[in-house]
Amino acid sequence: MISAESTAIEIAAAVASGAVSAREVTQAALDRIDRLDAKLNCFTGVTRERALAEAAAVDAQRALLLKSAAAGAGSVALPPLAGVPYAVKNLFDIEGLGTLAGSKIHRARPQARQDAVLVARMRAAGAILLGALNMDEYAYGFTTENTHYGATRNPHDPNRTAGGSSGGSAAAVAAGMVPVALGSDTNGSIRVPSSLCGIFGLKPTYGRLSRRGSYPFVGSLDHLGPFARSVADLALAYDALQFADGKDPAYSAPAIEPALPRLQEGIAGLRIAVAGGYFEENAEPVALDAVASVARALGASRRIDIPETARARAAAFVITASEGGNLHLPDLKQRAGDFDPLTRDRFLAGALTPAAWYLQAQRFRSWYRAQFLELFRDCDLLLAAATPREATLLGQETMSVAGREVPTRPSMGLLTQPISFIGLPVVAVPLHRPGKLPIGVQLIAAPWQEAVALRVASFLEKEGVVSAPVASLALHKLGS
Amino acid sequence: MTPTQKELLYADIEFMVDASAVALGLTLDAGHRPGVLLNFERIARQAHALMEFPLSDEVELAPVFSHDQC
Repeated sequence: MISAESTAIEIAAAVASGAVSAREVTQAALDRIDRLDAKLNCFTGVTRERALAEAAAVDAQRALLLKSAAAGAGSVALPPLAGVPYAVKNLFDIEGLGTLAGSKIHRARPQARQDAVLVARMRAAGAILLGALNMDEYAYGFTTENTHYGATRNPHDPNRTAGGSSGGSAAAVAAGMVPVALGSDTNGSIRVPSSLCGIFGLKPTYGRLSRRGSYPFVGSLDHLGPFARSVADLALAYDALQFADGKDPAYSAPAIEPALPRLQEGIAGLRIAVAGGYFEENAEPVALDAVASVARALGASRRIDIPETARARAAAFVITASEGGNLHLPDLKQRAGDFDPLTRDRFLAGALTPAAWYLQAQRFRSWYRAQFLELFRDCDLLLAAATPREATLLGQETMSVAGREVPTRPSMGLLTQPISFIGLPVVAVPLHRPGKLPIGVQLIAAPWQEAVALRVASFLEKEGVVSAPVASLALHKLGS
Repeated sequence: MTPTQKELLYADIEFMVDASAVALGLTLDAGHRPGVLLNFERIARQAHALMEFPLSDEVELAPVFSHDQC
């Protein structure tokens, strides 16, 4: 009844009805992790004891509610994610564990004294934390090839990358280990692995979800968000995560705005266009075909060119290097050799960036954002590929994009970077084609309009254009 | 219009990296230096595209969306 394919909504309903206990759901998920993770390397830590304790608490809560209910047996009103397993990128604080952020250096840091805000939100919603997930060191990468903790493998083809930097999060969801995971997105780190692992991912508006208790990368660009295998699960998790937090300096959401109740509103009246120019010039035919499929299903024939997008990507690159380098300067001075060789020289170079370059990039950001926001006067949603192509092989140093050979690790974010640069909300939706690797499309909305992007994603899912089946390779070849 | 930043030569990159490292008290390991130079050159190339873009004096940093921007 409850399997690797079950959605969070199905699990929560089954737990609430008593068809299955939270403990049974949790044990089954732990068993799947035991079977699959040795091959995929998604988890850097499994919180077995905590998970079983949280599951017991949910079961006890249900028993108590049943006892107090005059009606006797049946569904009880449990929190929305009661009994739903999830896991988090290992830059989220988990009480009692060290927050690694993919590094060796942070092993020496004290254990977290409390959960990150979003972990606490998931716990309050009844979700069961199964562990911490692999990532590129300090989130600086798009492939989750981590020298300290090994590469996370793509469940659709274990010889390929899962994308990054939240690769452990996306691969764990795609493999059916958990129905929901949390990650971070600074330049594309939710949308890139969503695309390459073939699942749904939400990068909310900059300032929407509290980042307190998560290890930063680039404060100006850091976002947190959920992954899932259905749009309703994505919305359910997103709604549970919303929380007015004055202690995150970037938090600026106008209100708590639940998306799940609006999911079935359809696309009538929405003005949808395809992002042209830069977004089409930096994509392979497979990515352009995916965008065309989505545009066709939505009846979107308009094409909008967004000027100066190559420069926007350049500015995001400079800001990332500079802020990331500055953040790690004390460790770069004292123990540069302990960094992952895949990030070390990038952080060192970034730390040396002149202020004039950084400030020009930040001012350009204001300019570009103002131009982009003008577009939303007569457009509600933009479409662009999430990655220039499907997953590359592990260790592959370069890849072909539109006839050019480009370095793989930074270039997987070519199409996501200009969007997170100005903080717009995006849902990445996956397209699966028989016998081929999945690829994702970005549904880009105006600031604070996550619900619009989720509505469109839900419409596409109902139309059968996008979907996120559990990776069959993981089930068949690695044993389910 | 102000003159644009010139394309940096490799010697310029080396000079900037070494001088900035001194200013920050950062001792670059000889084994790390080639990778740092390569990455600094990448940043410089991106920065060059930015520095040649004219911005009016009124454009300032504003990282957070205001509530009426939707």
